[in-house]
Amino acid sequence: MIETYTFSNNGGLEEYNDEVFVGFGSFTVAVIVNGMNDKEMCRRVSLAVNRVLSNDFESMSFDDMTYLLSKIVKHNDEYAVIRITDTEIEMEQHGGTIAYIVKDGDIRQVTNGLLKIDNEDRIICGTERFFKYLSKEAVLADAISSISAEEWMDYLVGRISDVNMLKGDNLSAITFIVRNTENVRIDS
Amino acid sequence: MGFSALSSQSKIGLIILALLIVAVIISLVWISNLLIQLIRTARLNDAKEEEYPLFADVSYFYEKGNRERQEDSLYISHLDDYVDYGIMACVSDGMGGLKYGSEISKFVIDEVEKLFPINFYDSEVVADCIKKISGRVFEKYARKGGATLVMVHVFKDRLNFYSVGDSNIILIRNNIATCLNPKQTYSRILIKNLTLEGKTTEEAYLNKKGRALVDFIGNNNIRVNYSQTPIKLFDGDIIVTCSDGVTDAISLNSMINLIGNSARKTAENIKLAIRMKNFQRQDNYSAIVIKLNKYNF
Repeated sequence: MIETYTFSNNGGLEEYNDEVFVGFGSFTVAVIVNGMNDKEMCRRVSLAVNRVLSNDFESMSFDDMTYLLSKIVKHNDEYAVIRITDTEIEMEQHGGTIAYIVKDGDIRQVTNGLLKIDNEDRIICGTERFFKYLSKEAVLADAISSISAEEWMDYLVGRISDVNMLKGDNLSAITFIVRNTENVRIDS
Repeated sequence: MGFSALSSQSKIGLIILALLIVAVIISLVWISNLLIQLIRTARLNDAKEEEYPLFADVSYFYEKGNRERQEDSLYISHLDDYVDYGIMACVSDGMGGLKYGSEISKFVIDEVEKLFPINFYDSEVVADCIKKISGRVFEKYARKGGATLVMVHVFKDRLNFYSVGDSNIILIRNNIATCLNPKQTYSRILIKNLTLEGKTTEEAYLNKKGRALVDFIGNNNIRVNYSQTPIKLFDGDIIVTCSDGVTDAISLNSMINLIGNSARKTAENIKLAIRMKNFQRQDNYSAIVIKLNKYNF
């Protein structure tokens, strides 16, 4: 099971031009669009993503999905596509977004391609602006001390808020925690 | 009888003897240096074999500031236990405005000391022990007082941390200072509520109760924030475990400029920087600085 939490905030601006899409099925697909500097681009990518997700995306391979998207979006559009299961993550980023994986008490940036993941690994993907005031150590510490994907996001948003009170930038990000079902603990 | 009175053969003999003595001394110095090098190499190899490359250099300060009483308390485990159990350091800050602040912070530290040595690989159990300590404080003082607690446990190039309240655990790495622990203040709840409404968060900082603690040692059934997985540490990392009297006086960014080449120098620089500020209402300020070095030679 993949626990997920999305965050989007217009940062006190009139418009929110980023987009965060999540599709659930036997795997989870998420798309983050960094659209603050290019509203048209955001609309175009959003349209493309909606078209892909409204189809039977579960029967599509990741390559098919990204190929379909690449036919619609333009070369310099900024977005990230993530496909995540209990055991692996596939990612394709096209600028303007950053992703990290927290694993065994360490953090590293996720690059395009396939990566094996394990129970309790934590992954975050967001726009560059979301990470503007966050050190890697902050992302790491909040990941390992939070009990849910939502709490991890809350801690990070709290840090950004401490710097700029969430003013000035659209903010978009999504957190994932890998929860192998046999290891899920139910507290009374 | 002077040297000149000696026969030439005796003189030569004495000179040779003196040269021999000098040669022996030089040899001894050289051999001892060689032995030291060999011992160092052996220790280094042992350290590598044991995957135990980081040594802890520790220092602290404990200052009253301009308060009437010292309500901070701290504890550092014995460095002699470092190889077997790592090092544990904690700071407890008695809550001002409530009775028994200093008494409770001392009680908390005494109780935490009793926990050592703790199981590094089961932070959930340790967090539960801290929760029980809070329960005992609750029973004894019935919320008439409380304290914060920040605790770090360094073992084999890994760090576990535990936190209740709003004290600080700061990791300085690559010239970036990051507070590791989330703060349990009312402002965090306000920020969450405001973001759920899609708003900016000025209100959370303007609220007079924003800095009030929503959890502390002495409250009932507290939430202990802790690392569920230990953080990997690296050569040169510095961990500052401190009360809010430190971070209220100097920002995290300015702390970077106070890093010395040892824990002692760093602690001294931070302490002096706060003293130099000369704030009239300077709170108690205490910190434990741990500098991780690859080799302690």
